[in-house]
Parts: sequence; structure tokens; C-alpha cells
Amino acid sequence: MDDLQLLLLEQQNNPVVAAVWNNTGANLPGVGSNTVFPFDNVSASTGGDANANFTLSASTAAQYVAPVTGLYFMAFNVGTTTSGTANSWFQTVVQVVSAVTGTAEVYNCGRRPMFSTNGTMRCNGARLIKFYQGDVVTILFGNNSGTTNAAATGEGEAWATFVLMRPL
Amino acid sequence: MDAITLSNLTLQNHAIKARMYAQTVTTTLAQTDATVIRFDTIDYDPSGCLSLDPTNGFTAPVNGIYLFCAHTAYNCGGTSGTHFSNFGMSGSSATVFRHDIHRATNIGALTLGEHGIIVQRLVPGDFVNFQVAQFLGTTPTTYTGSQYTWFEAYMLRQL
Repeated sequence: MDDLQLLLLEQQNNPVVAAVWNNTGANLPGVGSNTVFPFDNVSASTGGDANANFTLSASTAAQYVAPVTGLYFMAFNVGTTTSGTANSWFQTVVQVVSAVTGTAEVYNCGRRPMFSTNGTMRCNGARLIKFYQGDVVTILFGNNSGTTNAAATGEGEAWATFVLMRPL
Repeated sequence: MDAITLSNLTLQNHAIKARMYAQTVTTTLAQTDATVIRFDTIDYDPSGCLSLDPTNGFTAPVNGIYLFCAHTAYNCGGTSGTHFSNFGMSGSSATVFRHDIHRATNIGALTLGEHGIIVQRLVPGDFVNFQVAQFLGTTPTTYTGSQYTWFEAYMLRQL
């Protein structure tokens, strides 16, 4: 068995993937609030969630729990279906509640301006990050538009995917 | 051989990774419709998954989970409006035909950059390309150069 075959064998036997999307939506408060973005469906077309690492919720409690300590790749796409106010910003933040210390850390993953009210918003991002087993991960969406916006819905519009790249 | 060395060796020999960019070819972005971004130069593609203009996309060779990144830029011509970009998909397994990965509004004569990333499960024959749509009131032309208009693919995991 050569090295490439060995790597592929390792990957095939370690299918820790969680892919989810938002179908029904929820309201996202404005004025600087960071709210957990709701994901309420497993995305079978992307990779599913065979190990049930994701807790789904149509409200605001969707979260991912890391099954093992390792290096993870996570990508996400969130946004609104309603326009904000002019000269406002929209951002995504990844929050990790440590299973070791219980403390929460947040990682900003981009902020985007909206210069007029004539539009909706998408924030796309990714992180390569080490999680410890039991870490609770949520994706937050925030804005200062001053209005309450509706979360974007659709399998191609609002989604998150976690892939365990390598246990550590 | 230790684990890190083995990992590095296997990753270096991993065949399914690819990058292409637009060296001289430009893309004229029509209004309202998603326009497929054109590419004319391949940086690397050991598995032969990329196809240049006029096809402009990536065809999955094996069942797996893939990572795609892409970027392009253009001048909006001094008009205000909404612009967004997508990864378009087609194929036997693709139930998601478009990822809306960048959307914003602008005012004034700005240079706009469209950039995004997706992770997607594909089966052999599935096809992925990069598209940009805009409602600016003009038909801007994308910038050329490997730093501006590029498309990358990488297989994260074989299934």
C-alpha cells in the first residue's frame, strides 16, 4: 500500500462531516446584535451529518459539537432576505465555547457594508481551526442596520459545513 | 517515517487539486443574469479536472467532498446597485444548482471584488463553475491576471 492509498483509507474511515442549511428562517435582530444563525436541515447533498454532531433548530439554538479533538475546516454562508438600512454593516462571527474551560471565544469572519437599502446581504467565510472534543461551536450573524432582518433560506443560500481534517 | 512526514508526503502526492486563472481573457458581466467567468490559463491540474474557455469549470473525477474558492474583480462604472456571485453546479448528484456566496450593494465608482468559498459533495461527472451577476446598470468587464480572476479546487475527502 503506497502513501496515497493509506491517506485515502484513513479518510474513508474517518467520515466526520456535518453539512446543514436553513430552510425556514428566523428573525435576526439589528443594532449590533450577534444572533445564532438558525440551521434546521441536514444537507445530504453536501455530506450529511452521519454522526449527529449538529443540533438543529429553526429558532436560534443550532450548534455543532466537536466529536474529537482535531483540526477542522469549516465553511459557511449566511445572510438576510430583507434589506437593511443604508450605511449599515453585516458580519459573521464564529463562537466557540470551550469544553475544557467553559469560556466562550469569538472569531470575527468578516464584516460587509450595505450602502443603500436596495439589497440583501450574504456573508461567506471559512476557518481552519483546532477544536477540542466537546467544544460547542455556533455561527452568529450580526448587523447594525437598526432593523430586524429575516435570515436567508435555501440550500444554496444559507449553509454551514464542518469537516474533520485530521484528529490531533 | 513519522506521521507528519507521511502526511506531508501523501498530501503532496494527492492528485485532485487544481487552479486556473484569466491571463488575457475577460468576462463581460451582463445585467441580471449570472455570467460564467472565463479562464484561459491552468496553473496546475494533475488530474485533468479543469476545462478552460469556453467551458470554464471543474469536473469531479471521483466521489468526494470538495472545496472551491474563486475570485474576480471589476469596476462598477460609477453606478450603484447590487452585485453577487455564485458557484454554479450541475450533474447527477447536484440538487443545489447555485450557491449565492457574495452579495452586497455599492454606490459610486468602486472596484468590486467577488470572492467566495464552498464545500460540496460531488460524484464523478458533476460540474462546477463560477458565476457573477450584477444589477449595476452597466456591463462591466472583469480584470485579468492571476491575482484578480482565479478558480481553485481541492478534494478534502474521498467518499
